[in-house]
Amino acid sequence: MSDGHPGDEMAVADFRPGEIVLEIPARTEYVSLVRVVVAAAAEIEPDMDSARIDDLRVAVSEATTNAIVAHDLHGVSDRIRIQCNLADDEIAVVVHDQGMGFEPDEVPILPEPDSPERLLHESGLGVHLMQMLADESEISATDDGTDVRLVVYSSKRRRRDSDG
Amino acid sequence: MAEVRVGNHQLVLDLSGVDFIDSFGLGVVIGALKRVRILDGDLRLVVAEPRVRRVFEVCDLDRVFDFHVSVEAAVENGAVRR
Repeated sequence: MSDGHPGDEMAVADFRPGEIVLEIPARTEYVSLVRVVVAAAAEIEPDMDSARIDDLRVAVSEATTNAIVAHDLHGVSDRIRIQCNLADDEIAVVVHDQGMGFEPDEVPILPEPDSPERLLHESGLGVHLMQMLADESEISATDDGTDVRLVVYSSKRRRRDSDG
Repeated sequence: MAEVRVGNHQLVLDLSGVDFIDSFGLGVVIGALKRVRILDGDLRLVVAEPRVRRVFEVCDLDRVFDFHVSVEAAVENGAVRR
């Protein structure tokens, strides 16, 4: 698939059962495609609640957008890799960028909603959304960039976990 | 924000046709609220999709915005323009 922009070739490939890898050009036009693919992959799991798939869509969208911004900031033309791992009771998505790293500890803590300063935060909500919407979220530095790992549990696993 | 420039500071933003919002969208809405509040105005939201409302709630923005089920309901509650 190409619309004439360098690096626009997109690849979807199965590597092993339950794993789907999508590579996209670092351009915002592709974020909606990532949402569609990840949601469709999650729907394969019959015990995945639709509301949780919605949460995953938002979380993955945020991670992908951040990755695109990181590539843009650092002039990186490589594609961004989104890896979905479908397990029996969860879906894990890893968004890998080569944007020279990210320090999660440097993300500003949002003021309380009732604080007047809360409205100063028009941006910076993306990491907060990922952390709140995924059952697990992890941001880690790699040799060449950042991995954001987001995991959403199936309803079966959530029931099991809540039962202890 | 054309309405603000012509002096309307009590606004309704109709998001009933929106089925997805992310942090960028939230930032735009927060920015709009900030601008009208500086002018002693307010911004009310019409949100139909639970998934959209959830994104606001996850960021505790349901404590910042008034949500309404329709533009009419929002207008009845004080806003004069959409």
